[in-house]
Amino acid sequence: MRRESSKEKATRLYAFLLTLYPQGYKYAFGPQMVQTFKDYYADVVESGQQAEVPFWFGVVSDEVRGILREQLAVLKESTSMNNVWIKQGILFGILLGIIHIGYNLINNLAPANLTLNSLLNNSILLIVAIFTSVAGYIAVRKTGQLKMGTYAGLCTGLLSIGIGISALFLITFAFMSIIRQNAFMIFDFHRSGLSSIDEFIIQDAVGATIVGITFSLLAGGICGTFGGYLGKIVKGRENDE
Amino acid sequence: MKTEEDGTPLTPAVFYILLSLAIGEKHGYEIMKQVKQDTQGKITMGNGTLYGSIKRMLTDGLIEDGGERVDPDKERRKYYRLTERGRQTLGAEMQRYVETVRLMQERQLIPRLSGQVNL
Repeated sequence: MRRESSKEKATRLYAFLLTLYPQGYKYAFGPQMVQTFKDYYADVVESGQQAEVPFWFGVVSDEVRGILREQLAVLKESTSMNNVWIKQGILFGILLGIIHIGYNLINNLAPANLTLNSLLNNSILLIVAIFTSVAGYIAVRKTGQLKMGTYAGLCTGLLSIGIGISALFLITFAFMSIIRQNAFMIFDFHRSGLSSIDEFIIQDAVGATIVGITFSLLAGGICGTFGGYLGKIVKGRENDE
Repeated sequence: MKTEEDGTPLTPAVFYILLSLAIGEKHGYEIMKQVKQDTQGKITMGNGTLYGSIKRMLTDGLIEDGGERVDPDKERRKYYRLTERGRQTLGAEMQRYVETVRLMQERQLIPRLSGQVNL
C-alpha cells in the first residue's frame, strides 16, 4: 500500500481548513486555493526553504484572518439584506395600514351607498396589490434576491392588516351606535338570523379579520414575489448595461 | 478616503496584485511570488489574503478570469488578468505615488532620494 506523502497530508489538512470558509466562497475559490497551496508547499517546504512549523504558522494565521473576514462579510451581507426587506415591509406596511384605517372609517361610518361601497372594496384590493408589489420590487432592486421581495410583500401585508384590524375593532366599539344605523348592516343582520345586532356587528368584524389576514398574506406573498420579479428583471438589465 | 473617480488609494495587497498582473496574466502562486519579488520580500501574501483580495477585485471589475489551463506539470490552474478598469486604477495609483514623491522632493523631505528618482 502506497504511503501518503507529506505534501498529500499537508494538502488534506489545508483542504480541511478551507471547509471553515463560507459555502459560496469555498465553491468559487476552494480548488484554486488548494492548487496554490500545493505550489507554495512544493516551492517552500519540499525545497527545504522553510521548515514545516513556521510554514504552517504562517498558513494558519493567514487563513484564520481570511476565514473570519469572509464569514463576517457573509454575516454583514445577510444582516443588511434582512434589514432591506424589514425596512420596506415596515414602510409600506405602515402606509398601507393608514389606508386601511381610512377604509374602515369610511366603510363603517359613512352612510350606506352601494356605488361608494363597491368602489371602496375594489380600490382597497388594488391598493394592497400595488403596495405589496412595490415593497417587493424595491427590496429586490436593493438586494438582487427574489425571496427578499416575497418577504417584503408578506411583511407589508401582515403589518398593514394588523393596523387595519386594530383600527376596525376600535372603530367598531367606539362607534357602535352609528354602525347600528348603517342600512347595509341592518339588512345583513336581518338575513343572519342572530338575535342581537351588536353580536352580529362583532361577528362581522371577526369575519372581516379572517378574510383580511388571508387576503393580505396571499396578496403579500404573490404580489411581493411578482414585484420582486420585475425588480430582478430591471436590475439585470441595468447590470447588463 | 477613497476618491470617487479612480478608487484610489488602494490597499497594499490590491496594488501589488495589480502591479504583478500588469506584466501579464498569472495564476495564484505566480501572483504570490511576483508580489514577494516586487517588494524584495517585504510583503509575503498568504493564500487567504490573496484570494480575499482577488474576490473583491473581481467584484470591482479590476481583474477578470483568464480561464483554466493544464500546465506542463499536469496541474490545472486558473489564471487572472487585468481589465481595462484595473489598468486605469493602477495608473491612477502610480500617478498618486509619483505626485507624492514629487511633493516630498519639493519639500526636501527625501534629499538622498532626489538625485535617484527622476520624475
